[in-house]
Amino acid sequence: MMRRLSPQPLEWINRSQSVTFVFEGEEIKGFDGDVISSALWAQGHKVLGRSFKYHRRRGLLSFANHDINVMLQTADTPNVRGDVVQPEQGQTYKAVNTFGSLAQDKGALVEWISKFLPVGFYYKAFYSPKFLFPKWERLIREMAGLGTVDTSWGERRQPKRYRHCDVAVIGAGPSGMAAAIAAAKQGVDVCLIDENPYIGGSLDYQYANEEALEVTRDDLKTTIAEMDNIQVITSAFVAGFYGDNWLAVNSQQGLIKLSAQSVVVATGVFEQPAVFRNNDLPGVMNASAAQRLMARYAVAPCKEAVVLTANPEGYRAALDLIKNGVVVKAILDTGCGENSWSVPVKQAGIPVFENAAIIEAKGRKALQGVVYAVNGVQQSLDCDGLLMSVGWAPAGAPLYQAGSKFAYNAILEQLLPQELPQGVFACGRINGVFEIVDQIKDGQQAGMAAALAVQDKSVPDFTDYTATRAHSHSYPIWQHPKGKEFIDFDEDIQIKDLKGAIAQGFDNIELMKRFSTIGMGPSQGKHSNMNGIRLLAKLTGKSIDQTGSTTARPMFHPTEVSHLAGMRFRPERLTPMHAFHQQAKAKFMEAGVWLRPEYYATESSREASIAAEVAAVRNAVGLIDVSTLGKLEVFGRDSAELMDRLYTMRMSNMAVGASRYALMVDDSGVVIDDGVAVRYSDEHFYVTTTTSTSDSAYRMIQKKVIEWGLKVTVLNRTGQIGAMNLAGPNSRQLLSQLTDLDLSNEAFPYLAMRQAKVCGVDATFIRVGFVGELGYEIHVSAQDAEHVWQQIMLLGESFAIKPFGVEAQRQLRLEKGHIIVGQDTDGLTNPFEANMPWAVHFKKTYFLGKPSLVRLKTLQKRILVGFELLSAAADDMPLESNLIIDDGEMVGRVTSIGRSATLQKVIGLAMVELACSQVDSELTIKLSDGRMVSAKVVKTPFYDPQGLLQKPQESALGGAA
Amino acid sequence: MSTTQALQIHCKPLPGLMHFRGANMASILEKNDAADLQIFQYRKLSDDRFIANLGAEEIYFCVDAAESLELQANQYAFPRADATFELSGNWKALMSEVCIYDFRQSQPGDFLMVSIAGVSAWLLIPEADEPLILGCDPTFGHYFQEILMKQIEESPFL
Repeated sequence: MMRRLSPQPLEWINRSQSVTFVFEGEEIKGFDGDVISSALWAQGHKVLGRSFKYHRRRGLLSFANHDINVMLQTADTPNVRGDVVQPEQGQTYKAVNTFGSLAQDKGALVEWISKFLPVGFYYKAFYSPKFLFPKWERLIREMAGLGTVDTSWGERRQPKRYRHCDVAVIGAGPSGMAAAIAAAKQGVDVCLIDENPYIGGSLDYQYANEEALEVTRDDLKTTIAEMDNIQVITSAFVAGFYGDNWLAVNSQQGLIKLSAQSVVVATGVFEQPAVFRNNDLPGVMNASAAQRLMARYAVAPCKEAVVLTANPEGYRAALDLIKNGVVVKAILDTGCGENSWSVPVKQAGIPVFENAAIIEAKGRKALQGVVYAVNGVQQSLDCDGLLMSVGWAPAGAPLYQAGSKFAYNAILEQLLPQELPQGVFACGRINGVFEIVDQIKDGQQAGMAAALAVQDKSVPDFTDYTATRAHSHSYPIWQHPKGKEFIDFDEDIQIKDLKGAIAQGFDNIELMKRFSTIGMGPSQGKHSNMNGIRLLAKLTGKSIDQTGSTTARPMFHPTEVSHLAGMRFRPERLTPMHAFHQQAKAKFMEAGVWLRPEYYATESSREASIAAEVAAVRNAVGLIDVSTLGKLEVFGRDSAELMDRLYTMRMSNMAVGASRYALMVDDSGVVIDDGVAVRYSDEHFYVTTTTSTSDSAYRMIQKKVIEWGLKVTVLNRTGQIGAMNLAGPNSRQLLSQLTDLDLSNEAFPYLAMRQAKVCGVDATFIRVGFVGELGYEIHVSAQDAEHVWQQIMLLGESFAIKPFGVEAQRQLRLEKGHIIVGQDTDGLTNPFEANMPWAVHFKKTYFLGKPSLVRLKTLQKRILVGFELLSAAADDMPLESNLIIDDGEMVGRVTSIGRSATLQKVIGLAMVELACSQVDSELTIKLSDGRMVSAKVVKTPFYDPQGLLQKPQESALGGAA
Repeated sequence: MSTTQALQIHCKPLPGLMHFRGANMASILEKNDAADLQIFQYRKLSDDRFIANLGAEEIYFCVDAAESLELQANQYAFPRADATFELSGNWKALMSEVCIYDFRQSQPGDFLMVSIAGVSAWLLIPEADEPLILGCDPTFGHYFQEILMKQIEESPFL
């Protein structure tokens, strides 16, 4: 570990525990707490990655996840950020975007032809000859990737959490810590969030060697640790700031959705690199990167350093270098270096060159020296480290996303927040406050204000602690005749690229971004946007404010898809009889959120099982679980009025004890639901809905009750009531043994409703005929449903009973020509098209959708018809949604189809144009494979057209009941 | 304290749970010594039963099987077969992963209706050292218990 320093006062590494990993085939040893980059740098590695476009060697730049010079991948994880990710013991890492190896990257050949690859070249090239485009596309795709995606990855999900606090403080630097304490002292709950594993921020690396601040640091950290109402969330960043102060906090364990009443943004600033020739050579880095390297990981950035500075912070970095034994050969100050830190630097005998300009970094594989000018005189120095301290840009993403505006402060040469939304506060360096004492005061007043805002108390006026001198260079850009001055390191964007974009008319910040791709790389402009804005402003003669900035959208840093996915909450409903279905070999299907038996696997195949179920219903008796139907209780003074308004048929004239088909359309007359309504009393109805619409129908009805101002209560009892349909010629005989209810036609006619006990429990019986046989829907409390079902099945054995599933029911109802809403209707179908004009009672004064239906009745163009397939071949079976073609034109589609075991032919329903709807008309159906088959329009119902079987005479029932 | 116990969930049947709707619900509260019960609060009764005031026209009430129901005009009673559970340990930590509600706002005695893991549920906020009682539509009961148990077993936060 040739560059490892002696222990630093605040270092993050644990020297008693080592970590070994492999990088580009070489074994690397570091300490627990190291990040990958620090361990590599400590071992003498300077080339840690290759650039995106030209494959130039890259080392450390920001060392803070503000660039992607060190982008790695393992066998199963891409985009590992070496600057902030700790190495896993024994893990193997490889630099992304290399052809060959990091040391011998064939991709570097691209730089030889770089003059033919100006910005946006791919927008203009490769169009002709056209046949070559696929080859170019393949080549570009191969060249342009960052890392390799292993598509065999398994599903990964990280849990999400909700968290609530009164005040959230983003950033645990000096001002953030002070803000958290000040807010907590007001008695509110505070969450303090920082992306680093430890709180402290710049106080712990920029001021790590300031002895005068030790007490301040200890006080802040100790107080935070002692306050129960401050929750510290470290190693987590605020990925997005959303409405109502919801923060997406991305922690290593998963995403935290944090709700705060007030938010203090203390995110600080990003250090911006200087732009000059070869500023990307390994060894050229931001001064703050060098300070992090030394303070956190005890690694020397270099042996001999030159510091290029435009602010006091550069001198502070020089002092840190000196303390750690690095030879500082010169300070290149772009102005005049008068500040509190320049004095000890000069006293240490370090040459300080004022009014200096950087010209070029020299070196082939890494930095070997710098060329600079002082007062126009060119000079050079040998060095292996060049620290850049030329300015800052606000880490303003949370504020931008909250709706804040920024304006350029010409004294500070920095963008500062101007208008903050209610409940949002800023403090510290993002506010232009640079003195530590002032940062703490600024944090205190922001934290106090945030807490007072929570408590609805008036917020006192703020004291302005903004610095009174510039901490940023107004234009830290030095163009060189030979180029290679990089502004955006992610995308290899140089000065000439942006100049080219501007010259071609892309002279608006958003246009320039999109044409040149500046700020569009993985670090999203953190190290490049400010310099891009400065360049654009200068070249267009505008101010920084006039030039504007791009939009800072979430996510602040890339966020794993597994974090966004979270755990899967996919509610699933089971009917009360589910356990029976499982024991009875049910094959389940999803019906919305429900699991329903599609069929019971009692025979050798699915088809045979379904056929047996159909046969049981037609010839003996079957029982189907219909608990999934929506079930609404409607009661109160205006219940009949509500029912009349909701459904197309008149409901108010129903007798108590009667049932009626209930068809619902929306305002535009489109069929949206159907079911059966029964009347319990003058002011009490009970109505079913389809399985999939129970919740939406309930919501809509509730809304209508309010809109119409009716005195009525609607209760969604779907899950509280179990329901089953007992159907078949033996159903009455069977049921009569389980209830005292008089089931005779006279006492309980078709479409009547009765309330009585079955198997000893209260039940509602409805005589319906959905499947076309004598049948009874039985509705009981959910807790009694399984008992009733079991009793019916037990007793039913002597009546040849079979449970039947959804598929058998579909066939049975198809034989009767009954529609399924949502299958035989679509998002445009009205009752006339569904061939149900009988279900629309226009004599009613009003019902939902009536005005539309009055018009639609005269505009009908299509209709649902029944058909029989003329072909008998098994592979000629059309599918639902297959098109019906006439003279090459589409004239309809199949909505339902099935092979009727009862009728021994293929029957179906189809929505067709009126011209094709006459009985005996021939329909041509286009199969999925393109072949055509013929069908013939027939009358419905296909089965028992007189309905005699669902309303049998007493004599036909063998004297039962 | 419940927060130091391991999180556990188990079924807690609440027989006799009824949903009363209609006029003069205050009379039912009065009859059960709960006339002072504020809206969205519950009170424990004997035998694990409770009564909750959900508004002028609505209450939840675990009726005593030994008592007969006497409803006034325009009062309706519907049995509820809700899946009900008892959640012991640091239940607020578990809730933070499945429910958006800010439980800092809740007080012992509160009756809450919230969405948990995508399912509408009601909660009886307990005293600090007592387990949480929660219930949901019976058809979601299996999913509800399974997802909470999975969360308890797999979450790195718990």
